[in-house]
Amino acid sequence: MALKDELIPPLTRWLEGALGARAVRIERMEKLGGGAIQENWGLDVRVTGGRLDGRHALVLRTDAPSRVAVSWDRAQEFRILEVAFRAGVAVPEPVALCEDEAVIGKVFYLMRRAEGEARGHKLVRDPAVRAKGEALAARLGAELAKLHRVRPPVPELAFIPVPDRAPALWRVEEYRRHLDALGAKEPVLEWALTWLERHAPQGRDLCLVHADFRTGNYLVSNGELTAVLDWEFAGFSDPLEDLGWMLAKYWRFGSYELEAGGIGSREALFAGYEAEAGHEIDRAAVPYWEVMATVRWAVIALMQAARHFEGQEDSLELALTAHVLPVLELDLLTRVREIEETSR
Amino acid sequence: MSYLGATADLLKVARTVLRETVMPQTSPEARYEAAMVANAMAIAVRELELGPKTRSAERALLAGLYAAADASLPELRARFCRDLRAGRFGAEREGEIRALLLETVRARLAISNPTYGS
Repeated sequence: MALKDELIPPLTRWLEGALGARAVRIERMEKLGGGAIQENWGLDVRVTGGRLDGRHALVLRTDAPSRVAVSWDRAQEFRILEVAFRAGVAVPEPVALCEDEAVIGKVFYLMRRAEGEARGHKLVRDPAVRAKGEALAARLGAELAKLHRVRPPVPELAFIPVPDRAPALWRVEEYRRHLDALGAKEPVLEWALTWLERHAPQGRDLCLVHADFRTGNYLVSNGELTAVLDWEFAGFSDPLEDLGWMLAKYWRFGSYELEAGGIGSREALFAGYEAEAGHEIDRAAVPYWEVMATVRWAVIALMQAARHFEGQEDSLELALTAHVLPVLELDLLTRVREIEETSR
Repeated sequence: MSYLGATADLLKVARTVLRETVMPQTSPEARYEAAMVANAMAIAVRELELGPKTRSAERALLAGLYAAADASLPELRARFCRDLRAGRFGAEREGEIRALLLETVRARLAISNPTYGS
């Protein structure tokens, strides 16, 4: 399967202009998996002249037919990718953004193609990952610490709102708004949001967060990290939000004993973070953000299911997402009880 | 007698054919999607068998909480959600509320994902 053949000539011409090349030849093109929201195409190109002279494996990323309202569009995601790349985070190098919909019918951008496996259920069972999981968890912690050095304001990211109060309370309000917009009546989520409101940390230590940093959204090759992907939810928030998301039980893909995304220990993730950041993580403050992460995923799952059931996009995957909810609800009730028992 | 209403049995046998006959001959790329189809069919079977009972049990729990014997489940859920958001149940009722939530979650899991957390 390829982009429609008639799109290849305009894409080629646009690439020549964007890269300042004398000639560009698209040698191969294939649709890549992953992404319930966007489409990714692998592109092998031969570039003659200009800033990218030579042969390159690239990824072309576009919006899929419909998307979740809380996610950034491709042009915004490209800006975020540029900021993360400059901050030294292991991301695919952003190459070029095309905002002219006339070229292939929608906005797209190109980035270098990183090798590796992203699928969570594969990674947690991969022998290389099992052997080097602690180092991988530490590396992921270090990548987060690099990202979290980016503090608002960031002029290129002016489209990302900056919370005007404690980010935890800001999130609580955001999720209540989404539930109301969906017309969702979910008692466990309401109960958890009230708990989060009552226990919200009052600090306003804001940084750039990935907000979907988990197993499934990074690439691993031979047990080693090659790239952090999927920046469409990035925001300004509490740095612990990313750690809580990475540690949330759901994203362990059944490998529950390894708390950091089913691939490594909680301590390894923290140690890698602290070594890069140069300061300690307040360990007692992290579980709060695991609860926040579980609520966030439940709200997003409801929004994804709504895309199917409200008729925007027929999708078995989206429809099944509705059935994730009871799992997350049990996780919420269990995790809050654990937190209270530990603090007693 | 009529077999036209035996929907759960129809789905069960269709799922058996999918898993035992179709899936072994499915290409690796399509196997993940075939597994999703099988999962969806299993959820549908459990919903047919347990759904009505689950909802009437939840309604009874909430009707008991509010001493509102005649209220419908959507009415009760909406009221419960409003009260939870407003923090209207004091600390002294927190244990009771959590037990009720846990019971409804377990019942929902029995349909969506019966092996989780057991």
